[in-house]
Order: sequence, then C-alpha cells, then structure tokens
Amino acid sequence: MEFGPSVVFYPMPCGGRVETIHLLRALEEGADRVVVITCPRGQCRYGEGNLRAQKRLLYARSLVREIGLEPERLEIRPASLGSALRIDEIIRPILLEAWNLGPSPLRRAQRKDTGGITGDNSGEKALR
Amino acid sequence: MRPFSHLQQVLESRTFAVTSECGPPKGADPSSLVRKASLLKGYVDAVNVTDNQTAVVRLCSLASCAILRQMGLDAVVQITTRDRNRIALQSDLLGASALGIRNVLCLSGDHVCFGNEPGAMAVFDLDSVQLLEVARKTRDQGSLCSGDPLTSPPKFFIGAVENPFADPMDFRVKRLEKKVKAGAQFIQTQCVYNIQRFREWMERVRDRGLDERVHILAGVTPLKSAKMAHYMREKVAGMDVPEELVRRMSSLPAKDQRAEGMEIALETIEALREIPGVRGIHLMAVEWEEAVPELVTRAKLTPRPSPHEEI
Amino acid sequence: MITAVRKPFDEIREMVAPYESVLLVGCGTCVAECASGGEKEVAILASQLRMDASLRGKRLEVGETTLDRQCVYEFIDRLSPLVEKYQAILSLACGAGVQAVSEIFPEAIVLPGLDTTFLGQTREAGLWIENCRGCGSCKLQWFASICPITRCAKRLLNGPCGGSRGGRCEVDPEVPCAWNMIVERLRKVGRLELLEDVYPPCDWSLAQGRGPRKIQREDQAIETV
Repeated sequence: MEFGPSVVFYPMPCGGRVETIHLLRALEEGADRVVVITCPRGQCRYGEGNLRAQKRLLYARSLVREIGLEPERLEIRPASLGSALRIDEIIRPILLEAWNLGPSPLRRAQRKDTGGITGDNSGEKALR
Repeated sequence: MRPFSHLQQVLESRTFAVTSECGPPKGADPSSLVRKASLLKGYVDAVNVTDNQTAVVRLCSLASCAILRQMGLDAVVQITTRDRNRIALQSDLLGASALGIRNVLCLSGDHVCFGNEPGAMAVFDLDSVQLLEVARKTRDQGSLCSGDPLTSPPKFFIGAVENPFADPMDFRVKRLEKKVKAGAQFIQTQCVYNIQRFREWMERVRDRGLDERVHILAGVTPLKSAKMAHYMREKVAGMDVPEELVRRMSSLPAKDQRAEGMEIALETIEALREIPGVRGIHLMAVEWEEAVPELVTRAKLTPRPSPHEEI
Repeated sequence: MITAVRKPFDEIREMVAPYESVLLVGCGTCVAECASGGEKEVAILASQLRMDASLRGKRLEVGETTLDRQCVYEFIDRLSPLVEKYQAILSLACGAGVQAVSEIFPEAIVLPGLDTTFLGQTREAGLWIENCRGCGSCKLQWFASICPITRCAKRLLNGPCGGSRGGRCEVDPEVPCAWNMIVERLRKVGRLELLEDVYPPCDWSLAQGRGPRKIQREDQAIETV
C-alpha cells in the first residue's frame, strides 16, 4: 500500500508485536513522526495486544524524553469502535491533521554528518 | 534477692507504681532535660529517657540517665537495637550499671526511615527479645552473649515494652510470654485509650499466669488537643484511640481541650487501677511534663514512697 | 535472580562521554529476566546512545552483544575478539558480571550500566520482589518459609514489633508485615509452637564474611595438565 514517499508503512499482525526497540529505531532512522494504529479497545483479536502496544509506546516516550527528543513524535491511535474502514481510510485523516513538530532534530544532525536524508519523512506503523 | 532499683522495690512491695519519661534535647545542652526531670521529681518512682526516639538523633539515653541519677532520680535507660551491635549494646549495659543506672528497658526501636538520618545503616544485630536475654545473661551469669566471662556483672532491673493494640492481637500475649521467658521483669505498655480492649488483653495475660511473673505498667498519655487525638488515631501505627474520645475532644473549644484531656487521663488511670494484674502506670506526657504532677496528685497517687538510700 | 535497574541515562551518558566507541554487553540470565540488561535492553540503550550522540554532534560508535551469562569465565572469553575494537565496554550485567569481565580484560575500561539491587523473585509480569539477603545460614524452616531477615524491616527473629498494623509494616503500608504472615501461616499449619522459644542471636559472620565471601569445591576444580 502506497501513501507517497513521505510515509513508510509497516503492517504488523498485532499491536502486541510492536516492541519498544522498533519505535526507537524508526526515530533513529530519521522518522519525524511514528504512529501506531491498533484495534479498538476490547477488540484485540489476540486478547490484549493493543494494551501492550500502549504500554510500550508510553515507555518508549520516556526513553525518547531522556535523550532530549520530543516524546510526542511517538503516537498510538486505537481505531474507533465499530469502524469498518479500510486501512487507508484510517491513515489519510491522520496525515491530513495539523502536526507541528517539524522535522526531527535527528535528521538535521544526521544531515550534518552524512549528507542527509531528503524529503518529509514520517514513518508509520499500521495494523489491521 | 535485694531489689536492684527503687522502682523494683516499689513494685515488689505491691505499691501501685508511677513512672514517667523525659525526652532529651536535639543538642548537647542538657538544661531542658534537667528542667523536665525536676518537674517530675517527687511525683514518680522512676524516669525513663527515650533513646533516639523515632530515629531522631538526640542526646543519648545513657548520658541523660547519668544526669538524672545525679539529680537523685531512679532512671530507666532505654536501649534500642536499631543503632548498636551486640558489642556496643553489652558495653552500654556495663556502662549504665557503672553509672548507677539501675533500670534498663530493651526495645527494637523505630526504623531509621522515620528519623533525621534516613541514610543510616539500620543495625538490628539483635532484636529486643534477644537483648533481654543478653541483659539477663550479663547480670545473672556474669558473661557475654558469646559466653566470655565478665570481670564483674552489671546490676539492673530489666524491662521491655509491649503493645496490646498492635496486630496480630492474640499473638501479642504469646510475645509477652516470650519476653518474660527471655528476662523481662517489668513491662511498660503503649498508651491506653481503649480501656475495654486493654481489659481483654489483661484477661488473656492473666489466663497465662503472666501477671504473676512480670510487673505490668499501663501507659497513659494525656491528650493535649483534639488535633492530637485525631493525629494519634489516624497516623500513629499501633495506636487505638476510640472515636468517642476524638469526638469528646473536638466538641470543645480549643481553650478547654487540655482540661478535657486531663479528665480523660484521670478516668483512664482510675479504670486501670481497677484491672487486676496492672501494677502501675507509665505516664508519657510528651512535651507536657507539667501535667504529670497534676495528674499524679488528682489521681490520689501522692505521696510517692521515698527512695531508700543507695540501692 | 539478581535484580538490577538501568542507571539514569544522564549518568550513563557522562560515563561514556570520554569515548568515541563503546561496546554494550548484555547478560541473558538474571538481568534479562528483570528486563534491565538483556539483549532487548542492550538494543534499546544502544539506540538511545546513538541518537543522543547524534543530537549533540558527538561521534559515538556503539557495538552490541549479549552473553548467556556474564559471571562465568567461559562465556566472558567470547568477548575476546571484540574487546580491542572499542575504547570502552558498557556492561549491562549485575555487579558480579561487570567485575568478572573486568578481571578477564584488565586493560579494558569496563563501566557499569546498571545499579544492582537485590536477590528476588518475579512475583508477576513487571514486578520483582526482594526475598533473600544471602545471610549464609538459611532459617526458612523455622519461619514457615518467610524470611524474617529479608522481609522484616528490622530483621527481627522474635517479631512482630509494636508497629505492625492491619498486617502492614510500619515503614511502608504497601509492605506486608512479615511477622504477621509468619504467625498466620504457622497458625494455619498448627505449628505456632515453633515461635515459643527465644530465637537466639544470628551469627552475622556468615553473612558479612571477612571481606568478600567465597566457596571452594575441590571436586569441581579442573587440574591443568
């Protein structure tokens, strides 16, 4: 599924498969914004995978805060209850939201070192 | 065997005993201690000095008791196991005896976290029961905990504390028995507000025959204010302050609360005197030592027996 | 297991500040179990250190490896080819592991990434509780398998103290009174008489040793021919 060059899409079988390290690595590789989309509360087909994703994301935020990066660059969005939308119908509104954190300071720092990553690059992890 | 101290003499003669306590200063100048002790002189049979109570560093009980001794009072040195290992504990027991201090109260002590040196190492090499045994061993066998003999044994009347209101309730009597087995000759209890519950505890104590083996002095603390009553009910571990007492204090304007506190204390003393097996009271009038002479007088416990010469 | 927690990030950053390359070494046993120094935690800290260095315009190469156990010479030997490639080693093992590594590589700079805390159990996911203090003279058979030396704040052997309230320790209402638990359990199995005699003073020399304690077993030793 394509959302344009600025969006990287990682399908996962369940929110429970999202590990803290995945979130950190996404930022390390230059993502400005990471959005984890999970099944709605109470509707995880495997039990509590969406709750685990939530906890890990909160933990990842604390780790990100430790290095002076904005924790809000990591987000989690449970899809709203009863939505029978396709994944692109869920993602497009998120992309259209006003989001004002700007490019990740890491990209600027990396550009200094390595000649840089161009483009507006939000990495997204999305789940069915 | 001759009694070691005036307090022991009073208790063994079956006179209802009265003891009290002084809190030492948080500094090196003992004058506040001397002032408090002089208020008590003549109204009590012996005076305890607390030992770094609530783990707050104060002038030590041993030095304080030596000062009280010089004033002609029968002193009770309180020794906690929180701050000293068995080497220091036994050394202090010898020191107390050498200074003429003839009553020793063995306690575990409040945890270091409550005090003003929370980073201190909590020693607890022995617990209070083991300390009782060690104290008795030094006195009666003239030897240390390890068995090594002393050149001369210390002399003292040995005591412990017990809290009838802490959990688990029914095990408390078994614990008292353990302390008596270990060497406790007198007990000072946590202060009593719930007379009924204390009566129940004393009944169990008598059932085990402990009232014949150890002298029990019930603790009494006059309430200074409704705020104090409330605080003790809510915030102090192991304290049982009935709701009615708090209400009774709160129903009065601030200026009348002290007098009411005194009334309650007097009623408590009277009720305690009626309970068989209670051999005396231990008045803990914290920062209100002036209350002691009034309480003792109004409770008709004066005059106190005069101390014999050099025990 | 031995539990530990990761040191505050600021402290770690300061420790590695003088170096341009650091090898993170994790341990797959105790600290992996308590989620502080295993393979996952090595990856996380490495990522943080790289991003942090980048943000500060600092050069830092971060290597990652994890040993099955960091306290056993046979496992530590596997670090040999890696050690000289880095200016420093940041060990995410408990204090025993950090020192064992340092002993095998005495010329290497070996830094502690964790604060070692206590011996304990995993009570439930995410919760580790201290339950042993290594006193060298186990007495659990006298106390219904509840260690009073570890779980009583005053390590009373003839407890409870007067501050026990509602089955909770006076020091922290979240902490159950160990003595309350001991009494209840002995009562349930009808063995309260175990508490009737005075339990004598502990021999602490077994706990404190004369300096660091050791165990030596001839039957386990290997003769080098």
